Amino acid sequence: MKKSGMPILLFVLFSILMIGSSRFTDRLQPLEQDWQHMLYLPNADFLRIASFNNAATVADYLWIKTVLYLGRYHDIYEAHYQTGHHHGTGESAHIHASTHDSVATDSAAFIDSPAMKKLFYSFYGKKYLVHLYPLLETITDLDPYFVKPYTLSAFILARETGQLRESLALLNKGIHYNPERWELYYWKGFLYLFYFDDMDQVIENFSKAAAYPQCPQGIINMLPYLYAGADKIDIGINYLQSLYENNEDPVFRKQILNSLQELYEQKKKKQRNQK
Amino acid sequence: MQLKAIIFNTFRETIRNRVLYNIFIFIFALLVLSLLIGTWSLGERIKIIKDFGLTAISLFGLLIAVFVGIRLMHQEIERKTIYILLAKPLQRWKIIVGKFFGLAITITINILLMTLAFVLVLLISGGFDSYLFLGILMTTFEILIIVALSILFSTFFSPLLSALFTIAFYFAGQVSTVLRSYFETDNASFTGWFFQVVYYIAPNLERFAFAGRLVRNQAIGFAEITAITAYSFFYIGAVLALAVIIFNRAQFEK
Repeated sequence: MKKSGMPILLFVLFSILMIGSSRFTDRLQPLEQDWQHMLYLPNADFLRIASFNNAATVADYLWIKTVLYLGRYHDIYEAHYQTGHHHGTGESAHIHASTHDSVATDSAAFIDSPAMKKLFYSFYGKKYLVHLYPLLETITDLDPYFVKPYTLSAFILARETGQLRESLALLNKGIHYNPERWELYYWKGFLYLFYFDDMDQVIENFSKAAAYPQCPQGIINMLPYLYAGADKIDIGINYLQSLYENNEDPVFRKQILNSLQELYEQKKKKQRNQK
Repeated sequence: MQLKAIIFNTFRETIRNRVLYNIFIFIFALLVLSLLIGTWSLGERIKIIKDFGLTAISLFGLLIAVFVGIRLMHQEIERKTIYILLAKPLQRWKIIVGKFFGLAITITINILLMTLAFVLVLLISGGFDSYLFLGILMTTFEILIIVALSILFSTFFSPLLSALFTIAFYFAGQVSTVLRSYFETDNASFTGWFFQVVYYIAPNLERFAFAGRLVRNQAIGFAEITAITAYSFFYIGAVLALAVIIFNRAQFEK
């Protein structure tokens, strides 16, 4: 123990000095913003070669980068929004307390409203998330069987940046490589429902999603109403019947049966209305 | 005196391993590149020679540091010369520190010779800039960190494992900015904390990467150079102290 005393002391001393100098250097060499790194994102072919064909690992790395990129974007958005919000609330609260000015209260509520938040999101999204699509494209080129980036494209890419065509292209690519994943049909239907307003496509894609036993019950329950709303009850009955007959999973069959019964109810209701 | 003898012996031993032969490969590659690149580089010949030269110096230095460094301690055990050393009234720390400085001198001479060839090629090509020396100096510090790590690992691992660990630390050091960006984004979770620990344990070699900035004529502040130099000294000091702690407790069976 005695002969190790000095080396241990030196080790502790050097470690402290090393961490101190490391922190000092970190201050002198600030990190570049994440989107500056994204500017130099090489294409998938190059990355595949450079990684000695460990493309899936590079895709995983880029995926983590994407998550952090989104996290940073969210922080920036929050910071900007909170600043604006803070002024609005602070000022309005002051006015509210002193003069009970209803206009100020209204303006604070307006800034707080979901519509305004959406507007802020869309503004900052377009500005800061410009590298999201190239990232998702590269990840899915490197590992086309990595499903999460496709679903993220439908949700975040479409909502935050308004890149609907790109979003749809990524989902189609995902379906091409992973035709057995219900999520991809579901999110494609979601895009058609909320952004393209194409009910035929919504029904088609939700129906395809419902064909997989892993599909959540909510989507299967939604189908009868979608078919009824689009006046395609008979098509829906045929489709669900074929699903029912071609599946052996009792839980799944029960879910399909419930939806079928609902569709028959809708049909009867329609017939009654016509009479 | 004892320390000086160990340093000199280590230096002589590494020279005997013909590690300086790599200089001929370096000179040959540099000359071929400077002759060939003229027509292919579309006016960027000097830049490419500078980039290539600095990268080659760094790579050759790294290879020597890893493959000679890991064998230094193991050779002593394998040839049983360690018993002769331990039988003498010699403090064990002198063996570790002596080995480090012996190899450090070999590598420094190697780098100096490569630099000389590099400067000559640049003078002939008309693209010599004195600030390139700063890049080479930083590369030397970077390689010395690797030397210290290879000596540390060779005190308790086999040569193969030592090489693996040294190379793993080298790669971890090259991606330290990635680790930093993770824990600066998420410093509250366990993952963020873990990355922070790894960040400080692994050598931050990315901060030594001056070559690109120097070739592009980007300014580098005095404070930055001083801080990085101090960092490399402290890191080497900590690693060598740890190696001494481990080596002091090692039992050598005959």
